Parts: sequence; C-alpha cells; structure tokens
Amino acid sequence: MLLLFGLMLLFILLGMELGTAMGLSGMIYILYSWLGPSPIPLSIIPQNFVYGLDSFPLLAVPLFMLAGELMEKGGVTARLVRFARALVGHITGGLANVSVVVNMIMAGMSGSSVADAAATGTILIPAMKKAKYPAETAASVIAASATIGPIIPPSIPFVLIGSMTGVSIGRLFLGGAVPGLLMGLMLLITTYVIARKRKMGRESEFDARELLVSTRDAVLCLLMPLVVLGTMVFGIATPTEAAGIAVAYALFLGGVVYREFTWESLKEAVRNSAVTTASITFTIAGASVIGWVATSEQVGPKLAQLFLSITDNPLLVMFMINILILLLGFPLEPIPMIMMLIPILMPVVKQLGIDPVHFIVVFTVNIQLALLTPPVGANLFVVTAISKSTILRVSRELVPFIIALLVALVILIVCPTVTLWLPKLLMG
Amino acid sequence: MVKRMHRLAEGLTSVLEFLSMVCIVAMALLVIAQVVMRYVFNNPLDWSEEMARIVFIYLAFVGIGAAYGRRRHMFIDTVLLILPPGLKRAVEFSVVGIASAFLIAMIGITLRSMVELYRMEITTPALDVPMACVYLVIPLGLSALIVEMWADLYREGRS
Repeated sequence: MLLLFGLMLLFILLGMELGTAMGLSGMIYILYSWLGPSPIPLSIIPQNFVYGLDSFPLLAVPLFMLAGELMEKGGVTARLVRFARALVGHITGGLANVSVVVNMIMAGMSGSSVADAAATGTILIPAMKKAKYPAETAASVIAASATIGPIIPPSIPFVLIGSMTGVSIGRLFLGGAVPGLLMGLMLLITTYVIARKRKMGRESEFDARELLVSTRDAVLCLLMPLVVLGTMVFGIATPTEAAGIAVAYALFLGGVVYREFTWESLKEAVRNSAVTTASITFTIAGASVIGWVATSEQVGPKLAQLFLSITDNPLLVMFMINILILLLGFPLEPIPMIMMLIPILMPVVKQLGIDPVHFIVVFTVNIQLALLTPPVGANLFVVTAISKSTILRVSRELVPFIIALLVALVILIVCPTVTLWLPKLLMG
Repeated sequence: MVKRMHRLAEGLTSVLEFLSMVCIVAMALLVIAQVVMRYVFNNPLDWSEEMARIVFIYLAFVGIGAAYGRRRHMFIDTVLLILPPGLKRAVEFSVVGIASAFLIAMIGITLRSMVELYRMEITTPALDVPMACVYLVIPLGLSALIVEMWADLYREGRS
C-alpha cells in the first residue's frame, strides 16, 4: 500500500501527467493483487474512469469556469474596479484596499483563484505601479487577495470536493461565505498596517457622486453573486444549474448590456475554459481509481487509527492534518492536493467526528496558501509575470499577507461556528 | 520529416481543442435548456441531465490531449527544473515511455470491456444509448494523448 502511494508520488514528482500517474499506480496495485489469492479484474480501471466523472454536480466546474472567463471578457472586472475605488480608495492604503475588495466581489462570481489573480492583476497592478507602489507590493496584494476566490461561493474546489465525498455543495458554499469575509478583513488590516508604516497615501478623496455613479454602473455585476447563491439556497436550482444560470447571466451582461464581446474574445473564453476543464476532469478520472484502491485497502480507518494512537483530541488532529497540508503546499498545487488527499483524509475526519463541512472549508482555505508559496504557486507566478518583478521579491512581500491568512486559518480551525453558522441558519 | 510531424501534432491539437469547445458549449446549452424548460415552459426534460453527463465524460478524454498539446495539463515540474539537462531529458523520456505503456494497456482493457458491455446490451437509463458508446471515447482520447505526449517531447524550443 505504501509502495503504491510512494510510486504515485514518484511519478508525479518526475513530471508525469497527474491523471495518468494515478491510473498507472492503480494498475500496479491491481497487478500486484494477482500474486495473492483474490485477483482484481483490470476492467475496474475504465469503470472507475467513467463512474468518477458520471456525476451531474461535477458539471458545475466547467460552467463556473466558463462564466468566469465570460465575465472577464465582458467588461465586468473593469466596472468592479471602478466601484471598489470609489468605495475604499479614500482609506489609507488606497489601491491596495481596492484590490482586496475587488477580489472579494470577484470571488462571488468566478470561483477560481488563479483566474481572479489574472483578471484583477492585469488592471490593478499597472494602476498601483502608476500610483508609485513598488511592483512587488502591488503583485503580492493581488496574489494574496485572489485566494479568497474559491472560499466565497461559488467555488470550484467546493464543487470538486463535494462531488467526490457526497457532502452537500450548497452547504459548502454557504460555509465558505463568512470565512471568506474573515480572510478579506485580515488582508485589509494587513494592507492598512503596511500602508501606515510606509506612509503610502490614499488614492483619492471620498467622492459621493463617483460612488453613486460607479455603483449604478456596476449594480448588475454586483447582483450576480446573489443570483447564483440565491437560486441554490432557495432550492430553485441545483449547483450545476446555478452555474448554467451564471453562464447565461454573464452572456447577457457582456453581450446585451455592456456589448463588449467580440467573436474572438468569446472564442477565447470558450477555448480557455474547455482546455482547463479537461485537464482537471482527466485527473478526476485518475483520482477515482486511487479512491477505489484507498477504500478497498481501508486506508481511511487505518490512518485514523494512526492519528488516534497519537491523540484522540479532534482539534489536535485538525492541527496535525493542517500542518501536513501546509508543508505539501510548497511543492504542490491545490487541485492535485484535492485529488490526492481528500479520498484519504475524509474517512479519517468522519471517524473522528469532525464536521465534514468544517473540515472541507478549512482544508480549502489551507490549500489556497499553496498558490502563494514558492517554489510552485500559480498566483505567485501570475502576478510576478504581470508586475515584471521577480519571484523572490514578490515572495518576500507576501510574508505579512501569508501570516494574516494563517491567522484566519487558525481562527477557522478553532471556532467551527464561523464556518457552520450560516449553513445551519439557512439550511437547518 | 520532423517538421511534418510537428504540423500533424499541431493539427491534432487544434482538432481536439475544437471538439472540447463544442463539448463545453453543448453542456452549457443543455443545462440552461433544462432550467428554462422546467420554469418557463413547465415541461421538465428527462434526458438533458444524462446527455450533459455523457458530453462531460467526452470532454475529459477528448480535451486531455488538447490540454497536453497546449501544455496546460496538470503536472509538477519542480524536480525536473533542478535536474541537469541531460538527466532531465532522460527522465522525461522514461516518464513518457512508462505512461504510454500504461495508456496502451488501458486502451486494450477498455476495448475488451466495451465488447462485454455491448454483448450484455447494457444501455443508459434515459437515452437508451449503449454504454459501450460512452466508453468509446476512452480509447480514442487516450490514443490522441499518447501522440501528444511524444510530440511534446520533440517540440521546438524545448530542452
């Protein structure tokens, strides 16, 4: 069994495509079983390929991805930036605050962190540089605040984990709302402190008229998160249908209201979301083989036993798991971590009596940090490229933001209520 | 010769990319149609969900080749980047070699499963499509993936 996971990790670290590496390790496990008394048929693998993907909730992933792409191309991001500027630009830290707030609103629409970093970064990093912010400071603010994307609903990681584990996606979405706001608050405090210390000015004086005008211009964008969430919470649509509604709404905004789509940009949006989706879904197919092996080998109960032999305090186990995830986050990225860790960790969590919604939200916040930490961190790479700074400099600037997010993570671990309050209130 | 191979691989990537774009648009339309039919026309569709799920499976296996061709597939190159160039090349070749051996085996296994499913006349519940047709995309997609993997090793401007 250890051999199997060792092999899988080896293949992955040597650069093999993720889904292939997982399927291959599964096949080696099955061939190994032929030496024993009960050989497993190889046809288990294609069966798991198909069953792993044959899930209607999973379809929300490509649709939210498409909606996010369409919104960026349709001029939604630009309007949100203007609105956030009028709202918080006059507070010390000016544009840095704007970045955090825009990302929080974007989080309510797209559900992917890297996409948010790219969309807001291309507009705000040049603006901040023009306002005499150092390039790496501008980059780090964007990278850090984009991590809120998958926490505030809708969220692609929540859809993935929900459909892998059978935990209600609606509950997960609601569970992420307050923690996402908490992360935003932490980041705003950080930008405020940094701006004070470095005597960075305010962006502009408060202007009530500009706020009014920009709000009116952005009001249809601001409605979007409410439409998506509302249809789900009140049982009008399933998460997948809500994602479909998001696509239709984004098409309506960019095509009819703002008229910013071109044939080329539409094609680009479809192409990006199709290719990204395929790369994720293929790994799901591979992961379902690994999940099958993990179940038949009873990895979960065995691992739970291991944790229990150290301590039976669920809180301590949560901390141990989270430290493990943080360490894995340096070389790995969120989606691979979901595919590899969730099938193994979920049974442990259930056995220890930890609320699955609480655990999944904490897990997702934690893996977002993997986007910021070198050597591999997609947000880090994206903002570094946009700001034309260097990885090392941006990483150094990111330290206070990472600390702020870690504080938020600890709060989430210690107080499950922060996560569980809203889903309990609205869904019983 | 090598140049023509490149052009062929590039063409394959474009075709796969186009097919995955068709898949994602079809999925979006099916899901939107499902909501519209239920609320606007009060006439819920019973086949749209299954159809969308089948298209999704097709997207995964058709699109993975396109993702590989555009180097947008999921992989981790942390270790590869610190290896000396000669060793890196050797590792890349062996990884692709092992992966293709696995994928070829998978194609064989899936084809056998398909024959069995076809004999047993297993079909999907709503659309009554033979299950073998759903599985069909696996050998097709994986074959394309093998080609893309090897083409990627010889891509210009690499190594």
